[in-house]
Amino acid sequence: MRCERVQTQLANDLGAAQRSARVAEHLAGCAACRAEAARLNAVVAAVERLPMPQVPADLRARTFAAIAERRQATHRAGPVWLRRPAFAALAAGIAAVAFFAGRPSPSPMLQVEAGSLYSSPYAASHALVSAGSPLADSAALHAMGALAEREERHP
Amino acid sequence: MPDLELKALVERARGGDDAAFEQLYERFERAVYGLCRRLLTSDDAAEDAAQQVWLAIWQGLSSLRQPEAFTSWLKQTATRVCGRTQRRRRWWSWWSEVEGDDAPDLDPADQAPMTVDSLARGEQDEAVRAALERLSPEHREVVVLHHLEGLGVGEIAVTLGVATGTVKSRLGRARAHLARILGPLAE
Repeated sequence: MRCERVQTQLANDLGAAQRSARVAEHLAGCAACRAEAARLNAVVAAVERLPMPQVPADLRARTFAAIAERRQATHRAGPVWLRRPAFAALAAGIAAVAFFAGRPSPSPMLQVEAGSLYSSPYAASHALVSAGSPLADSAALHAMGALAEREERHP
Repeated sequence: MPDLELKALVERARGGDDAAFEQLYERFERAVYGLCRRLLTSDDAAEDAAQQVWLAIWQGLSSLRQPEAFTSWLKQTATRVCGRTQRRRRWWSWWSEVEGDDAPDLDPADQAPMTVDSLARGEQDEAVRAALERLSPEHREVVVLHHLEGLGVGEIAVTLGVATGTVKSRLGRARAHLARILGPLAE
């Protein structure tokens, strides 16, 4: 093996490289690569013996205060299930269905009335144009119906 | 703490038992703070990050499906929180530089080696810790996770969301860089 390849293997995976028989064979006969392996091993040993950092004395109190604050904010915002994305999606779906279902469509009854009882072109066109507003349409049809009956009785 | 005991504790905490959550905190406080402190370069940043980690654990515990995976989830959460903190700090540091403040040097590649050959043990540890802080965040991350937290290359790749080859090459460059910074200590 070439020195360059051995040193790349040592750098990329020190432990695995040193377990390799071919690398071991090369190291046995190459002082430069042995020195590089020793240098990297010394670095790793120095890092691994670092003591654990000391925890600040007030960290626990501050952490639990932050959790208590978050818990209060969560309670104010309502139950957890109300805030879940699945619930939000369901609510949006229900709102969409309610919106489209609530949109008025031309009532068959009013269409029949418009065609049979009130056959004047004005009444028919009005009934069709204003079919989007059933209440207004009914009122208009009733008013026109009353007018037509009076005309029949008093021509 | 035996695994079965830890699993039972996690299940109780997951069910809303505050005492169980406090026991989990006691058990892992040092590990979480230690990981945050080693990944970040200041006490203040590490304290803030540790708090955020515990908030995330408290909020996410109810959706943890495998209580036995608590420890690795905790480490992943800490690593991700610290990664976000680091990115924010880097952005802020860049902005401060643009604004003309004295920002810390985040590219230590050309800095001179430390002279640590005659230092006592405590001073050597301090020199190694300082050398770690001179690494780039990406290099420090893999060194801490591999050599101090004992994670394998594959686990680190999953935690960081990168390829195993990337982890290996970062580790290689980080160790070489540490060797250059530490100079005589690494001889």
